[in-house]
Amino acid sequence: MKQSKTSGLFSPTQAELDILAKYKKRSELGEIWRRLRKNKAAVLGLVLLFIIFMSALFADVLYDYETEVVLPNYSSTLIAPCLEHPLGTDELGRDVLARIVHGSRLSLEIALLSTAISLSVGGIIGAYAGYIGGRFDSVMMRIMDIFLAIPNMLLALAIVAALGPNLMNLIIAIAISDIPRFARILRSTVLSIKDNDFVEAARAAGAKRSTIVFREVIPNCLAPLIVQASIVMAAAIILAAGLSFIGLGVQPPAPEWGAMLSSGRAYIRDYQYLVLFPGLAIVITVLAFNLLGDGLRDALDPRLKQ
Amino acid sequence: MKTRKKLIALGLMLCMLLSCAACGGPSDSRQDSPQNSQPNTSQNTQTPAPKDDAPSGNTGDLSRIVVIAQSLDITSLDPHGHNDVQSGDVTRMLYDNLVRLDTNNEFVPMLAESWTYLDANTVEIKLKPNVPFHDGHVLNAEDVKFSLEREMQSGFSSHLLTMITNIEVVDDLTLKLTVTDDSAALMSSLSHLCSAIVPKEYTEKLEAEGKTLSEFPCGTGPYYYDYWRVGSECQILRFADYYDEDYKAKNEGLLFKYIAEANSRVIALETGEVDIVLQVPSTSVSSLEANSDIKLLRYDSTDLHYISPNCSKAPFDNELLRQAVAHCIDRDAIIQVQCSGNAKPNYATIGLAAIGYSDPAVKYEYSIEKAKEKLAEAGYSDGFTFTLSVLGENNSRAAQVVQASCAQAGITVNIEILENSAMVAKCGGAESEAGLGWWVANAEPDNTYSPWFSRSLIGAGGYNWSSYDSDEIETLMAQALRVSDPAERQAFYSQINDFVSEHAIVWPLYSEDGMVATRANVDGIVLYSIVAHLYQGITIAE
Amino acid sequence: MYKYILKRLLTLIPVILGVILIIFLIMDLTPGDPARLVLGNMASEEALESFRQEQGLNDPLPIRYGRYVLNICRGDLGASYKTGRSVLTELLDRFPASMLLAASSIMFALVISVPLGIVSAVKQNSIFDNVSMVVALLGIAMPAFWLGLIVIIAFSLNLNWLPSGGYGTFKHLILPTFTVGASCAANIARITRSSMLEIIRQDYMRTARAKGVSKMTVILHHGMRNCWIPIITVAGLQFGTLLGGIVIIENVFAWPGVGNFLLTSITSKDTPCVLGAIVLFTVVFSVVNLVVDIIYAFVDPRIKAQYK
Repeated sequence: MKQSKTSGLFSPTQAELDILAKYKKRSELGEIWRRLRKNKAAVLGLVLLFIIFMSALFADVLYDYETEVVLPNYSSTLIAPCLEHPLGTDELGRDVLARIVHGSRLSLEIALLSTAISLSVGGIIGAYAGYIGGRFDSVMMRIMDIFLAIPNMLLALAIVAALGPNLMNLIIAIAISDIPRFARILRSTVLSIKDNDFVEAARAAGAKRSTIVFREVIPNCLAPLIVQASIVMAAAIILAAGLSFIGLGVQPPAPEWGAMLSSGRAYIRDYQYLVLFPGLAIVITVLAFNLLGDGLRDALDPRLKQ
Repeated sequence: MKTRKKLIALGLMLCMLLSCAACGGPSDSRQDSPQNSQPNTSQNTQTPAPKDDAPSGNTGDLSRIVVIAQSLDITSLDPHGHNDVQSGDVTRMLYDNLVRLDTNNEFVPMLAESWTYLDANTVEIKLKPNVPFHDGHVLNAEDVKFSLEREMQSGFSSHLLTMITNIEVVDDLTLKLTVTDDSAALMSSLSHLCSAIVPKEYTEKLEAEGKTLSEFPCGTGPYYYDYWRVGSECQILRFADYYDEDYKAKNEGLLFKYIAEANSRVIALETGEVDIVLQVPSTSVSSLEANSDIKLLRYDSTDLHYISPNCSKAPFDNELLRQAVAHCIDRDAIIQVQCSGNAKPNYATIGLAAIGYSDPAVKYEYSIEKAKEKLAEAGYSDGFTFTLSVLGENNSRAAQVVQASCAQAGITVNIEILENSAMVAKCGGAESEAGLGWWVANAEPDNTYSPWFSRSLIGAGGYNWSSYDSDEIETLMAQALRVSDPAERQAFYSQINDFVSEHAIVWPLYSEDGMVATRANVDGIVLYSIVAHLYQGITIAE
Repeated sequence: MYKYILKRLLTLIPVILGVILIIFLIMDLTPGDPARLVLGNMASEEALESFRQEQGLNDPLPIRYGRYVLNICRGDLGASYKTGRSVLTELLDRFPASMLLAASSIMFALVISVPLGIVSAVKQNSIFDNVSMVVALLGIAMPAFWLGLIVIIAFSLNLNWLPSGGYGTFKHLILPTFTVGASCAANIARITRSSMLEIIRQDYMRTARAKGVSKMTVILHHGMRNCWIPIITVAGLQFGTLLGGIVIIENVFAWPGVGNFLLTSITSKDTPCVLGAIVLFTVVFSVVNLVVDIIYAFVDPRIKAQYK
C-alpha cells in the first residue's frame, strides 16, 4: 500500500499501475508464504489438509465406491478393527476406512462448494455495498444483520427442512447461512481501500464500475477473504455433519461422516469404533482448516505476530 | 470500584440467564394439579379421584410407582384421538372397554356384564352396576352410547365399528346394538383400545369449554391421570375405587418415560432408572441376556414390518415393477442387520403369530436375477427410481438393505425418513411411492385387512398405503365378516393373503420377536402377542 | 443510560421482524397443503376450502406475514398441525428445559475458560499454556454431537457414573452441559488468552509492576478490567452457536427441550411448530445480544459518557 501511495506522485499510466500491482502482490505473497512456513501449527494444518485432499482425490483408486463403500456384505458385518479392516466394518459389512476415505470427498465437496457460493455471493454483495455506499449499502447491510441474527445452524436447519434433505440443498443451506459473514468482511475491506490511488486512477481512466469492483477492489481484498474462507470451511464441515447426523443432510448410503455417526449410534454399546472413527475424521479435518486459518491470519497480519 | 461494577454487571447477566431458566420451574412446568384444573362437570360429583381419597393405610401393600420406558412420545390421551401402541399403553390403563381379550384370545366381560344376541342383528349389552369414573360419575348406558358414537366419528377408529347401525339405550344399564350381517368382528372391535368408554357429560362439557379429553383424561380404568409433560413423561396413579378387584392396580402408579434413543432406554434400565423397557433394541439383546439384574421376556408378537408400494400411481401401478422389487427383498439380510437376528422372515400380509395368518401360495423369493428378468419384461431394463418413505429413524437399516439389493438390480431407491403423522399423511394419502412401516395386528384379522385394503380408505390418510383397488379383495373381506366360524373365516383371509402376495401389493419383510426387558425384581406384567400388555399387576420386590 | 437501552431495544424490533420474515419465507417453501394436514385426507374439498378461507391460507404472502406478526404480538403462534395444541404452549412447555441447558452451558464455559485463558496468558509458552491451547484447538474442532456420544460412552456406558439421557435431576444436566459448553469454553479461552497477552504488554501494566504491585494483583485488578469486552463479545456470539448446538445435543441426550421438539416437528412436517421454535430461538439470541450490548455500556465508560 505504501508503494502505491508513492507511485501517486508520478501519476502513472494504466500499464504502469498493472505492473506495480502485480509486483506488489507477488512480493506480498512471498512474504506471506515465508511467514506461514515458520508457523509449525500452520504447516501441520497444511500437511493434514494435503493428506485429506489426496485421499479425496484418490478415493476411487483406494476403494471402489460401488462395491466397497455402498454395497453391503452381510457375511462380514460389525467386525472390530483388524488387519483386513483397519477401522472395522459397519452394520452392513462395509469397510469403515473405505467409507471414511470416500466421505472425505463429500465433506470437502460440501465445504468447498458452499464456501465458494457464499464467498462469491457474499463477496459481491459486500464489495458493491462498500463501493457504492449510500442507501444500497445500508439496506444490504441491514439485511445481512438480520441474517446474522439467526444462528447458523437454525438457518440451515430451516432451509433444509423446507427444501427437503439432500446434498444439494445441504450445500445451499450452508452457503446461505455464511453469506453475511463474507459480505461484512468484504465491505469493511473495500471501505478501507476504496479511496486508494489505484482505485482512483482506474476511475479516472473511465473504467466501468463493475470493472473496478472486479479488477481492482476484489483482488485487493483477497487476504482477509482467504482467512475467513478457511474458518468457514471448517464450520461448514461441522454443520454438514451435524445436519446429516440428525437425518437432514446427506442421505444413505452415501458415506457422509455425520450420517455414519448417526447410524453408528445404534451400536454405541457394543461397537464403539463405529462412532469413534468418523468423528475423528471430522475433528482432524476441521482442525487442519482451523490451524491453516490461524496461521494465515498471523501471516497476513504481522502486527499480531510478536 | 469500577471492577466491582463490572463484576456486578457480569453477575447481572448470569442472573438474567438463570432467571430465564428458572421461570416456570425447569422440572414441573406442567405439573399443575389436574384435579384443580379439571372442570367441575357434574354438580353431584366431586373432582376426579383426589389422592386423599385413597385410604392411606392401603398403600403399605402396594409397590412403588413403576417406571416404564417408551420409544415414542404419546400422541394423545383421548382413546378416540389416536391408534398407536405408545399412547395405547397409557390409555389402556386410564379407560376400560365393554369387553376385554384374555390371554387365551377369548373375549371376556369388562364394563359389560353380559352380551346376548337377541337375533342375528340385535345385540343386548348389560353393563356392570356402580362402576365409577375417575371424576366420581357412575357409568351408565348413555356414556357407552356416547363413547361408541364418538369413536365412529373419529378419524382414527371409525373403521372399527362400521357394523353397528344403531345404538339404543334401553335403561340405565342396558343397551341394544343393531348390527349388520357382517358383524363377525364386533367383539374384537369392542375390545379394541379405541373402543374405550368415556364419560358423556364430562367430555361434552370439556369440549364446550374448548378443552380436550387428551389434556384432561377421565375414564373408569385402574389408574387416573396425574400429569403429562409432552415430549418427556406421563404419570398415572392408582385409582383406589376401581370396580374390579382382580384387576385393581397392585402398584401406586405408572410413570411412562419417553426415551427416544434406543441405547439410552437400555442404559436407563441397566442403571435402574427405569423398571421396564417396552421396545428392546435388538442390538442390545445379547448384553441384556448376559446381565443378571435384568430379565428379558420374549413373546410371540403379531408384529409385521413391511413395505407397501403405492399401486395407484407410477411406478408401482405396474405389477411387474412391484414383483421386481419384491424379488429384491433379502429378508435374511434385513433380519440380521435390522434385528440382529431377533425376527423371523414373513411373506404374509399379517404377523406370524396373528389370527388370520397363512403362508401364502405365491412367494417372491430374494433373487436379483429374477428381479432383472421382471424389469426386462416390464421394459425397464435400465431400472427406475423410487422414493421409499420410512417410518422412523429406527427402520433405516432395513431400508438401506432394500436400497442396496435394489441397486444391484438397477433400481435406485431414495430413502426418506418420516415421523408417524407425516408418514400416515403421505402414505395414507396415496402420495408416497412406497412406504416402510410396521403393524401390530390385534385379535381381529379384519382390523388388519380392512384398513389396509378397503377401497373406501384409498387416499384417506389411514393405513391403506398400497391403494390397490380390487373387487376381489373387497368381496373376500366382506365374506369373511359374514361368517363366525374361525376356520371358515381363515379360509377367506388365506385367499386374501395369497392374492396380495401374488400381485405383490405388499412386500412383507419380517415379524420381529416380541421382547420386553425388566429389572430382575419386577413381576406381574401380563404380555399379549397383540402388544396390549397389562401393567396393573406389576409388583416390584424391594 | 436508559436512553441507550431504549435505543438498543428499538433497533431490536426491525431485526426481529426481519428474522421472522426470513424464516416465514423459507418455511413457506415447504411443500404440502396445510389444510389437508390438519383436516386429514378424508376431508371434502369444500371443507378444505373453507378451512383455507378461515385460516386465510389463500391470502397473498404479505398479508399472511402481517397476520402472523400481529398474532405473535398477541402471543399466538398458531396451532400445531399434529396435535392441534397451541404452538406457544408447546414451546413454553419445553422452553425452561432448553434455557436451563443453555444457561448452565454458558456459565460452565465462562467458569472454565476465563481462568484458563488468564493463566495461559500469564504463563505464556509454559507447558500449561501449550497443553490448554492444544485442548482448546481440539475443543473447537470437535463437533458437539460427537463429543456427546464420546462422553456417553465414557461416563454412562463404561464408568456408569451418569445417565446417558433424560431430564430431571442435576446428574442429568452434567453431560449435556459439558458437551454444549466445551466448544464455547475453547473459543472463550483462546480469546481471553490473546487479549490478556495484549494487555500484559501495555505500558500501564509495566508501570504498575514497576510500582511494586504483585503480579497477580496487577493481572486481576488492571488486566481483567480491559479483558472483559472481548470476552463478553465472544461469549455473546458463542451463544448463537450454542443455541444451534443445543438442537442436536438435546436429541443426543433425549433432553425434552425446544430443540428436540424442533427436530420431531421437522420430521412430522409440522410447519407452525418448526417456524415457532426457530423464531423463539432467534429472538432469544437477539435478546442475549442486546444484553451483551447493554453490558458493554456498563463496562465501557465511553458509551456510558455518550448517553449520560
